[in-house]
Amino acid sequence: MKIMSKISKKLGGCLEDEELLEYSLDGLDGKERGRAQEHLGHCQRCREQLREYMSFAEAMALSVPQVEPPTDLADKVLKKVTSH
Amino acid sequence: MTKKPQTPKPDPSDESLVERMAAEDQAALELVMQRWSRPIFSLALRILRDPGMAQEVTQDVFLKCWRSAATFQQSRGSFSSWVLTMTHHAAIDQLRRQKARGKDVLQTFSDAMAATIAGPSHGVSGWQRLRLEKAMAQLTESQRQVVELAYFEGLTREEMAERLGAPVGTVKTRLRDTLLKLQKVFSDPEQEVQSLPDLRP
Repeated sequence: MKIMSKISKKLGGCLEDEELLEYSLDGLDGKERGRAQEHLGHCQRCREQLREYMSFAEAMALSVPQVEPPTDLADKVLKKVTSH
Repeated sequence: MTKKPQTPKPDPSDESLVERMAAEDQAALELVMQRWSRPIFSLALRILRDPGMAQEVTQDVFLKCWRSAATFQQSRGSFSSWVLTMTHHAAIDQLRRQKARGKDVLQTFSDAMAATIAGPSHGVSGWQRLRLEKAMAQLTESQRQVVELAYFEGLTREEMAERLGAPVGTVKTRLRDTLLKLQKVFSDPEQEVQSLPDLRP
């Protein structure tokens, strides 16, 4: 079943699981990333798989030690927003 | 006539806040910052190891959220994925710029932590964090190293190969095998039921 799914993905020019995983982790180089983005623009199947991998990428990003940001951070952002 | 007790309004979802930001509602931006400043700053700090640069990246991410709120598409993924990917990308870009300028970016992470105040864990991450920790614990030292170099240091495959003294092809395979292994353990429902305390909100 898994082999059939791999063959079907290949025939459709779909991205490999590894590529999608690296894409979700912001790990593909410029050229590979461009190709992935172009494919994702029209392939529902790869987009669905990518959504699954994104929760893993999110966990990676949230796994770091949590640190309180500087207290003036929000004020600085709001100042820039209102000055435009 | 007795008044019905009012049930408190649920917190607005991130996605509804983005919609409000697209309509230039600054109160929505303030709520987003209250909710996301800590995880975004923490990720940027973990990558950059410099509180000043991490603050700059965090501010830029919120400004980008504000300016591009109208282009956010929920069908492409959640707000959390969007904003964390944006943060990772911006922090790695900044790190590369610093390296290109020959700046010393080797300040230790514990030094960076000492310069800031440690805060509580981000609310949504407890359960996911445990699953990821469990998955990470199953990696070998060299597998953990490639994840560190790729995700937190943003090295290209070629740079990693040079650092590790291994061919590029070997590094690519090792990284992809490691990520697939991590993802598999992370998404395996059996793992969470059998061995993790129930911390879901």
